[in-house]
Amino acid sequence: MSAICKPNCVTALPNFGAIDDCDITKRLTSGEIAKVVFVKCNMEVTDIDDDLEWETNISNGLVTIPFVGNGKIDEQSEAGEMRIGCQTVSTICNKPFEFGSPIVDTDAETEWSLYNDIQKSKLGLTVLFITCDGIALINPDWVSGQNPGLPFSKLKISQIFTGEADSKMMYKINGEISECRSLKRVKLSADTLEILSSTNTGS
Amino acid sequence: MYELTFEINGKKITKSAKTEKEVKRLVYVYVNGSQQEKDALVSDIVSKKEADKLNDLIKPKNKKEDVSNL
Repeated sequence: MSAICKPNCVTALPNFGAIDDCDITKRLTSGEIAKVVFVKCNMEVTDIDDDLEWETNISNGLVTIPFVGNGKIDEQSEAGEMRIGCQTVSTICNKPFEFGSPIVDTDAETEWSLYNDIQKSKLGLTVLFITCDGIALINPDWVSGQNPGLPFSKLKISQIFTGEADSKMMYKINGEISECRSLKRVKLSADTLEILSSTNTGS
Repeated sequence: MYELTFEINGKKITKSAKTEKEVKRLVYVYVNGSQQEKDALVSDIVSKKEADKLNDLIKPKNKKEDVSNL
């Protein structure tokens, strides 16, 4: 640890304050990702919780939402370390995420092509997530008029056949978000969730 | 009921909140900045509402006085 102290670097420390924790379970929220949402990287969103705006963006082909599944965002890794002012500073920070869905289009067998289209478009996409509690995880810098998605540094889509008896084929999306900070958590209204959930599920 | 209008980057968003907690949640979603800045905004909104409530309570009282003066 450096002996150099720079109190000016602390402008305002957060105050977590007191919270009513008598009912512990009320204070917990889902850590499970139910949906992964890819948006065009220049798509601007005025109101993140406006169902009509999402509907318009979806109709305009700016949003793609793979079938519902299960996913997670893992602990971030830091790299590109440099020694500056007697401290080790990481210049690269990535949060790995993965998402898998066993749902396929058994009517027309078309979903493979859709996943390939995402793969092909990856340089023009950003990603956001929806948890099982209906919370959107978006760019921490998002304000009205900006893209809510997170830029990613890696995206891999795999079609998995396990070869085991009675196993089901599935699609797995692995990637890394280039963001060190915690993601902005936005509780979505039922109307917005309905729009984001009904898309691409065939329902 | 609180009526909130956020104007950022020339875009206007109007939201309503029933409680102070909802006001705080909306401010944290639609406004960027430090905790102190966001909490100050929440306090402003809540105290303005309180002041409006107080004004509403005072107004009928004045009316009554006017009537009695007649």
